Amino acid sequence: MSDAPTVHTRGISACGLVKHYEGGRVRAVDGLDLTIDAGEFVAICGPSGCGKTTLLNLLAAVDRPDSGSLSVDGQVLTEMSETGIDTFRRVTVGLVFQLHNLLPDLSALENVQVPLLGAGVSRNERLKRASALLERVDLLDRKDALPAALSGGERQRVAIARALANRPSILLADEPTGALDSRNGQRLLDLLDDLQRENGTTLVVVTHEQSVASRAGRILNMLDGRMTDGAA
Amino acid sequence: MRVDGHPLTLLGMTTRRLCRRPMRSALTALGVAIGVVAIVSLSTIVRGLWRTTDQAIHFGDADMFVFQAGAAADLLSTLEEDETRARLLSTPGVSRAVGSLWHILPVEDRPFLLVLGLQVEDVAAFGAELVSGHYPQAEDDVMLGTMASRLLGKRAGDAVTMQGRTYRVAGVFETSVVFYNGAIILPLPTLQRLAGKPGCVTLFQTYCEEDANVSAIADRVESDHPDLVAVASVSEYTKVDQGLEIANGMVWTVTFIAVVIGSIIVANTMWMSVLERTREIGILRAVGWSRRRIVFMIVLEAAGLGLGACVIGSALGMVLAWSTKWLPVSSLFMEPAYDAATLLLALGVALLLSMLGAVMPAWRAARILPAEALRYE
Repeated sequence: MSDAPTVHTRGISACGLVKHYEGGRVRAVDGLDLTIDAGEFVAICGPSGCGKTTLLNLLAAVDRPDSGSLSVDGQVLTEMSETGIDTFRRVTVGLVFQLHNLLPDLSALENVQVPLLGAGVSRNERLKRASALLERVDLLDRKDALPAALSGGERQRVAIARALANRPSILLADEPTGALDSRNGQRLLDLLDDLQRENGTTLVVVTHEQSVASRAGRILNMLDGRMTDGAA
Repeated sequence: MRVDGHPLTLLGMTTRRLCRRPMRSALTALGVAIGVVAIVSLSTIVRGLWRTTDQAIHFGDADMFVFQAGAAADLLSTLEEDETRARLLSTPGVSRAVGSLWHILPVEDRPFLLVLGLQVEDVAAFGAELVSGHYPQAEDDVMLGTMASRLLGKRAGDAVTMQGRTYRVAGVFETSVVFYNGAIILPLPTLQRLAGKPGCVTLFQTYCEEDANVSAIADRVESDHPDLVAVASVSEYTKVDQGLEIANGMVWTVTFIAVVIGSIIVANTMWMSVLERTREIGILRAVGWSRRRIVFMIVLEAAGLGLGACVIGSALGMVLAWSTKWLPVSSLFMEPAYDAATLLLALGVALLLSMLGAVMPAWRAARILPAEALRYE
């Protein structure tokens, strides 16, 4: 493990990444090293509580590490200001949550527009891009439905469309099939697979399901906050 | 590919959120509206007082009122009639000066009415329109304003009793000034006797020559006669009476109280709203919304509540002010004045207190860490 940050032009690089909770009692990520190349499809596997979601949150910059260095798509997150982090979340990464996390008052079409509104994209462009994404995930005919009226699989597909709205170079997915039955789960993975190939997006999927991990080009195993198989 | 539907806007999101809990939004708006009601009704009444006073100063095309300097209140001004008139008429630019004695007296079963004493020969020139009967001709003749006539239930030819003496109603008059309509006009010597002020008047309605500089003449009156004050506009009325200023001060006091209470109500609602939506705010932060945008969203919601409160409060406030026309006392002195300035004040206050109330919740929302918010249940 090295203390010096390794900055890649694209892709992801972490050195000695640490994230503790409860005053250090819970060591969710504990000196983790990681390298993922641009355009790779990587699955991060491990048992519940091993720190997968915390790692994903750090990569998505929704959480900040206690120490170590983290570079994503050429940007050193550990040295960025709050404003820079906001821009990073808006532009560089798309995040798919385990439980879709759609806004309940907004229709499918409006949910996809949320990141575009945050990025200051023009009204017409917002509508055009969100419609195209819904069509891509095969849900344009359900554009006016509220999340409560969508099935679990449909909600996750809307969440993927939302994650792709600002055309991120990195897509991060946290147990994306966790709440789906196997048929819908496979359909969703097909979609993620296709999108990753079409756009050359770096795709990082956190999962504890082997069937999901087997889709990835590379599997990284995590235990007690560290990679167990020399991921760096 | 077909592109239809509506683009998502911050305003649309705000409206949807406020409608998500309609009862809470409505009750918050109502709480804030109470402050707005107080501001609008009081302001409308006070502006009515100002307008009525201004109309009185310039009634019958007069240019100014002249009072005794240093009097504790307008009605306590006492001027020697003949001597003061002579001094005023000697002032360059002054063409006419009509003295009148103003007094408050119980009349019949009314605890008080405004009673004006005018020389009989000045009554016609005073500018009141005769509705029925004729101008006073004898010392026990009186004229009633239309409102006084209605309150007392007296018409031309009837008798009215004041301080144990009976007077004959010679006529009924109407003017454009509300409190003149609620007054009684007596021959000046009669009222001077009743009030115990022989040879005295309260003020002079002073007329200037055509195209004269009224302000300069008013200054001249005051500089030549330090015992006199000239009031050429309602804003100068504080020279003889603080009542209007006190009323104005009350409006600002109520405004201040409304802002404080309203802000607390809005803060409470917005704080609850932010707490309930911690996870939602976390999602917005996770998809790249900046802190500034989150703050703007919260403030916009609060402003929406303020706007609703302004509409409800302004409407209720105007109805409340209008209803004072049916109160026997206030209807004698003023008519509510509805103007854009009052509504702008209400709008400004409603928006200001809403935004003040949103400061703390918005600050909290902006400080929410996305990861913590996403874990929030």
